[in-house]
Amino acid sequence: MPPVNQPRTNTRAEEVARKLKGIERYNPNCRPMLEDYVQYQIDNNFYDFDANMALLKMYQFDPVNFQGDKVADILLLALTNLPKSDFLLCKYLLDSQKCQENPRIVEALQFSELLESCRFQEFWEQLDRASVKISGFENRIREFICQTINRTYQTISRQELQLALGRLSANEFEGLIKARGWKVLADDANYIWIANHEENIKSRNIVEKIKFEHVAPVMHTA
Amino acid sequence: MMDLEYPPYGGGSAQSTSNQQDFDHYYGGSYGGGASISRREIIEHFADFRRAIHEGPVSLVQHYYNSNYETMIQNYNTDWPSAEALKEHVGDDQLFLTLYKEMYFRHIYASKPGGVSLEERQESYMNYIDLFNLVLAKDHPLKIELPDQWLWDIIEEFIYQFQSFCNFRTKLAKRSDDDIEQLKRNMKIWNVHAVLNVMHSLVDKSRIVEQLEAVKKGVPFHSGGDSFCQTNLYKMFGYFSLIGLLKLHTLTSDYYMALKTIECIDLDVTKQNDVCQVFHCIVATNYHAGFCYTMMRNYEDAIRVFVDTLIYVQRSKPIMVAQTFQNDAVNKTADQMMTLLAICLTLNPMRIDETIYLHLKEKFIDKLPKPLLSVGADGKLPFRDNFAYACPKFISPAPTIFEQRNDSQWAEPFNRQIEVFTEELQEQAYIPDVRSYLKLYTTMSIDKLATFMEKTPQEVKPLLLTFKHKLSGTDTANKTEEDFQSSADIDFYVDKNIIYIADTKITRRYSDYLVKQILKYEELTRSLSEGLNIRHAGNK
Repeated sequence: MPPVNQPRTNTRAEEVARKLKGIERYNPNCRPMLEDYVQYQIDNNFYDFDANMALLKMYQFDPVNFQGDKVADILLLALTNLPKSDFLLCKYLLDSQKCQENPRIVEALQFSELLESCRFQEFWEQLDRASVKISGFENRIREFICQTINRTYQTISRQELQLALGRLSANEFEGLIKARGWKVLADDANYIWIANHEENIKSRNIVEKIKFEHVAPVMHTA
Repeated sequence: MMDLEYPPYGGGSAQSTSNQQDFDHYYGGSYGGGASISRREIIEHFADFRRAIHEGPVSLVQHYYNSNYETMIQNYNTDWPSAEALKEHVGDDQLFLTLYKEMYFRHIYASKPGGVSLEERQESYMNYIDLFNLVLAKDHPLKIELPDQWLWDIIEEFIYQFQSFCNFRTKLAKRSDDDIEQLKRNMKIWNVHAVLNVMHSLVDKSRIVEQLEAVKKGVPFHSGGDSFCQTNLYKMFGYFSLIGLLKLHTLTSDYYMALKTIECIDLDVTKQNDVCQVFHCIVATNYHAGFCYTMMRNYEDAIRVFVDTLIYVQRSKPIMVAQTFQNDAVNKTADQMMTLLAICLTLNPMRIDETIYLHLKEKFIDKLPKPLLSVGADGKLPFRDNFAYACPKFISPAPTIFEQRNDSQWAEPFNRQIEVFTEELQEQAYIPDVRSYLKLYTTMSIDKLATFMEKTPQEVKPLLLTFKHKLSGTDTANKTEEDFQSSADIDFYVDKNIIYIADTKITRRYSDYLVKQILKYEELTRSLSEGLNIRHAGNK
């Protein structure tokens, strides 16, 4: 599975990381650079959690500089890194009142709730009504959904899979199935084979093994 | 060498504060209450202390440092002589006086937890800045050696006083107008940037991160002629500052940064013991790290850290007796960890060490509401109280809005944390039910589960997915035999419309118990026979 967190070979990322070393991380002068960087991530299908957290921290230290739209962008970017708990970590740093005041933040919070409780069909419906302009957003969310389905299902019905994956054309859908190594069942085209869980998920009985070293202290000649 | 940003401390001139009145009455001689130690004895004690600091050895300094607290704590309501009084007897030893004042203010904070005045807070802050400037702003390391315990106490107290100040400046309901004016005019005092600056300067100076990473990789650390990082004083100050930062970030709810700061530290207690022998420090580190894991939904790691540390605390009880004034703090932290452990195990059941589990069952698990988020008769969440006890006392680093003359800015950080944590728990609310139904069968149709849970099959499918999403810490493919042994007790997969369930049964381990009993019995037999022999010898 391709990693979502791309390795930092990106020079822009390296530059930012340099500027955030040590105490400089809290220097208010870094704020405009970090805000621009959020936009850079959105335009270039890139994600830098560390820099985004630094920006949220600055908003926490100086609430007068709070930019609701930037926060909403950061939250949406965090969603693309599911199943990691980036979104949750961001939430702890935010002021609840300010969040309620910005409709885009409220929207991001709703997306998070739907995705975290795996109500994928509702998520896609809600996404249809919103306008999220982050390049690669849908694909990365789909990646998360596929991972979760992979963990849970051995065989899933075609209809369910289609609903979980959102608005895909027939071609795209077939393409995705092939790319993930899933197969349509030979005897029933309505079902799709996901992964062989029978092998790994079996009941086990763990019996105690008594090692000699354990009882050696009590085994000595009287 | 960092220039710490602060208004220059006016040397001795700023001394005519309320303290003057306080120590004037010392000239009268006797102290109120407690065993009477004459003032002269105290001054001599500190003069000796000072000599020990400059001449060493460090064990003598440790002795003075420990006995200091024993005698002073017995005379709890005794005021310590001010630095001025001491100056007359020990001379103008800037370093010693600064160190002394640090202890002096620590005593003030300890003896009047609610009533430390604004002036005292400000003076204490200035003193810290003096102290850290003395340590940092030099070309050569300081020549004295101080015991590690003392260095840890300095950093701990520094962060504690910062936390106390944040509480002071946000609890505006009872603040006097004078205090508020003063606070407005002195925004730099106990400013979060200054505190961060101190911590980072100490970390950088000692290059502790590099040193720890070298230890982790098993390679030697090359200081390249840098005498600072080789000196124990700086190295330990650097290490303790890392922990100070861990604590600070946890208090300001930045769990990501908190864990990132201590990336270079292996949380295993034996490994920590190699670097740092201060018992309280290890306990505090693991408490905060475990708390961060809990908030991040990383329950397995949290549980491992807590169990590891609790075993360590139990084993170290005999040593604890020696370190007097730290004991209460350690015991409270251990209790907090137990509560957090109980919460984590409720959310992510897994097998842990028997002794800890028994202790937990006796005392803590029953204190938690079942289910966690159940609402009490009064419409409130009892879980809040458990969480409030176990969590650190959060603060807000943002500037105070003095116009809002109420305590809302003080309460806000905690409320926000518990709000977010509760939302997370609500997303997991049905998982315990799913788990208990799945445990009953080896296969179950989705429809059947739906009937049990009084939901539609369409509603149940997301619950199964959520179960997997929330509680599979790592990728299933990477799990080895070992991992399965210690983690979640139940697993499943869905094939078409049937759930196939696998559970892990572990037979009771009895070898440990038997060995222990055998050894005990042998001990008993031995002491009985010795007793009988002596009796015989005596009777002859």
